[in-house]
Amino acid sequence: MRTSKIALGILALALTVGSCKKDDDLVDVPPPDQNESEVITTFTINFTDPNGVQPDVTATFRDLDGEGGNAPSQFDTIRLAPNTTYNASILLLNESESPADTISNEVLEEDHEHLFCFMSMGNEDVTITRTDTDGTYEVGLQSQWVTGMVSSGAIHITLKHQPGVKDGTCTPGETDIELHFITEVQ
Amino acid sequence: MAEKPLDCGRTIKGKIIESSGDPLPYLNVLISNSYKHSISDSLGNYQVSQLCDGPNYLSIRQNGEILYQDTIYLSSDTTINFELNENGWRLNPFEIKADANFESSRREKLTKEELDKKYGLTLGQILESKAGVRSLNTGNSISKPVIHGMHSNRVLVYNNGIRQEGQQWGTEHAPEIDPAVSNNIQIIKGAAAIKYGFDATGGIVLIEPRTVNKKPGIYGDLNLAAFSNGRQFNSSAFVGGRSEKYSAFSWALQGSFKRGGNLHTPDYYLKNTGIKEYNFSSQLNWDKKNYGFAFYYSQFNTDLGIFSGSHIGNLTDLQNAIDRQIPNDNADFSYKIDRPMQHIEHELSKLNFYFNTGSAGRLNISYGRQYNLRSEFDKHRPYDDSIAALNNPELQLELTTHSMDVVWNHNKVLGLVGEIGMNSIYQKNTFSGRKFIPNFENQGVGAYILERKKWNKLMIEAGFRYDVRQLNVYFWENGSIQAPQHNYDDIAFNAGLKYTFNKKSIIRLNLSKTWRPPSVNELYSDGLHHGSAAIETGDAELNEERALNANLDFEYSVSKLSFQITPHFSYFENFIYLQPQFPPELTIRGAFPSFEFKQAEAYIAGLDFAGSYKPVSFFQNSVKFSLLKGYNLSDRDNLFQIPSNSFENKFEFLLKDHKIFKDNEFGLTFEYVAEQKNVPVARDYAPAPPSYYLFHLDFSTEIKTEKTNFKVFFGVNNLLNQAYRNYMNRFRYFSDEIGRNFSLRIHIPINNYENK
Repeated sequence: MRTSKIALGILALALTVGSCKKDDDLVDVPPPDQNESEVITTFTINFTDPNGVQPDVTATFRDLDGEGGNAPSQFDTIRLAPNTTYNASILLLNESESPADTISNEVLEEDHEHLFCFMSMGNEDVTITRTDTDGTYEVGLQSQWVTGMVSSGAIHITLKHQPGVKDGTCTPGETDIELHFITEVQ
Repeated sequence: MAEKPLDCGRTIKGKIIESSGDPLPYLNVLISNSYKHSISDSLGNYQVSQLCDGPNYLSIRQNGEILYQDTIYLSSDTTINFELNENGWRLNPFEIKADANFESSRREKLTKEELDKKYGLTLGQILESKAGVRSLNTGNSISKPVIHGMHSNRVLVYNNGIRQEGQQWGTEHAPEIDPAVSNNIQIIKGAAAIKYGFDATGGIVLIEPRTVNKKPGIYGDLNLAAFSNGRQFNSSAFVGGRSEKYSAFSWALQGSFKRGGNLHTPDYYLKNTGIKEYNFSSQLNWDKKNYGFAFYYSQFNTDLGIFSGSHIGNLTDLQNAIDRQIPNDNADFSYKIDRPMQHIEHELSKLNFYFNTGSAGRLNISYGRQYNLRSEFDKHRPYDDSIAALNNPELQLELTTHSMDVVWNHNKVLGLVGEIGMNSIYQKNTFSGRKFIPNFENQGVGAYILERKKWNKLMIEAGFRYDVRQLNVYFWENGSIQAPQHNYDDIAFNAGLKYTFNKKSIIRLNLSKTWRPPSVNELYSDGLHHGSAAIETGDAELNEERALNANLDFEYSVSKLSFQITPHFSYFENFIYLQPQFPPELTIRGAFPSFEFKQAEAYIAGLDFAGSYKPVSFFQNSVKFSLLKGYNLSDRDNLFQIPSNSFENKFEFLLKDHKIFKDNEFGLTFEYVAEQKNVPVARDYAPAPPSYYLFHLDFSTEIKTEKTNFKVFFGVNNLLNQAYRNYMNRFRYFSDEIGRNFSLRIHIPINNYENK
């Protein structure tokens, strides 16, 4: 009994005086703004005409400091030629790092967790079909855009992150990208 | 009700006086182990007879409130005089327990027994049992106390005499305290007690640590709890001892553990709502009559899952989540805690020293060090596998706080009793990961004086304090480190009175002025607040927030009926709040609502009522309600996130003892929470949820045998398994509140540990 009493007392002492956690002293040296946390700064969609008739088209959204802070520096309108079938491919970059990190490669690696969705938001005469697959469901990094008459509207492009819940629809998951591109067929 | 107590013919008698020598009549001296009591007469004399030798648990009470208690060891008839010197009872010069009796604000106390009944709940949920106190929740595991509609930087929490310093600015940052460390918790509603701080406009929560018995030996107790919802179990053990050879020396150890899994609403499981918590505390004390010192150390560690349906990508996701009535992320039961989650550590070390300065008073010096680590893990892992593999938190904050308090409590000087004190604080914060608040250093010093004068029925109190705060902030801008400095200083004061009409009624009035400097998030937050899917932008030009407050408290108590009614009013100059900005901010993830910190003229007004009626000895009916309104006078709009009006009615029945089952109590509670109609225009993503009512049931018994006695509490929360949403829960956009929850709690004292 006596030894156990002493042992408990010593334990109390050890726990009371011991084990303070060390804190970070570098208060006046804040981590730089471009920190490790990862951002997608740039979304680019490239259109090519496989027949080589129409010139290539590129539309980009760029916001180098991510969410908040400065407003996006570039947000293009998608301008496509009428009555053309384009192959479209999406490139995602983190340009806050040097060299820029190609995030779309990571999306491709985890294609079973990702889905691009294209929604028509206006009167543009464009039909979009995803042309790639993760083995079960489509992904959308590659797609086919078929234009019709001269028209204008908007295409809403979203990237859904759907780990474990991907079912081929745009409903489940969390939105990683959501961009509303003004689209003109002219 | 109880078994007939033994009568061994022993007597304790004596006199209860004030330091001035005036007798204290009408105090109840109770020996709780033998159910004997005595009321002090007009000369302060009391006498309790028919007692037995050995330990006797003595308490002195006024209107049911315990002013003093101790264990008296009898071996002969004994005379004990009690002297209340206005800083405490003479027999116990180291504690200032009776202080509350001399305040112009009423302290609401949760005793250890009440805490045992609520064991396993969070601090915020425990405090909600008092009228006027609600909680701001993020799911079921994160809850912050809201007193008179105010929370976070407007409510101070003191843990063992040290002001709790965590990341309290965040609405999803709960106080990092395990309620199991406490012997009792006191709440001072309103801004009445400026000695605790210049910024406690909402109120103060005081968490008093466990104490060790006066008698040498080793004591302890064990609390166990199990909950059906979330299949949560909790355990907490306390063991403390006092040396036989050196009765001044005592020590204690306490540890607790909590584990819970996915919670269940009436209709579905909430994915990733598990919790894991492991805490301990230890203390070493050396208490002599004229001096003493103490070490205290505690650690709080938790991992808590954030309901995965609440972590959303952008405003469209939020709208979709609101539109579908049932979350998309369906789940089964699991104890697994996945992303999104928080990992929080809080460490408190305290060194305390006191000595009596002759007969004039007592000096108390305490130093505290707190370390707070907060790691927030987003649902979304980085795309880059090598970064993802590190499994780093997306946001991590480390805050270290050193504080030093020096207080001199003095006895009567020129007819005044009071205290003079100085508080100083130094803290530094660093972040890693996503930038939300910058690195900063915060330092401050303040001094106060608080004096009281008492006449026969009237007590007047006045306090004044002056504080200086300096905030140094460090961040990068355009490739160089910026280091702006902010300086604030202001006065705070309070003046109050307490008037005792007769034995039945007490009136307390308190007027005060409080202020607070803008906090670092209000000045510098810049970015996406993931928990709320909003972009919040601070304003470095914000001024101090000032408040003028009035609290009135009327207390009435006769044998069958007692009630307290408390109207309160606070007027704010430069009230700091988040104002929505239009248009929403465009990002690659879509549009986000954007908010800026602004200042306005505002008021918060309300009324709390708590009363109980006991027409017969075996039945009691308790009612409480609170009314509250917060209004922004500059914008002519309601304030956001003010608790709606609520009403609670509890019926309690005391059942007959049955064999070893004593003190059998059965209770049925009806709770009604009104819809919040006073919401700001165009501020919220979804309308306030409708009114709801709930029934709760509880049963408690004490199992007493010759060898041991322990208490058992059984309860059912949300008896009817109602699906409802709470305006004060930030997850109301995503999911219902949890459904029916059965609970079983057991409290086992070891070796006659006193349940103070």
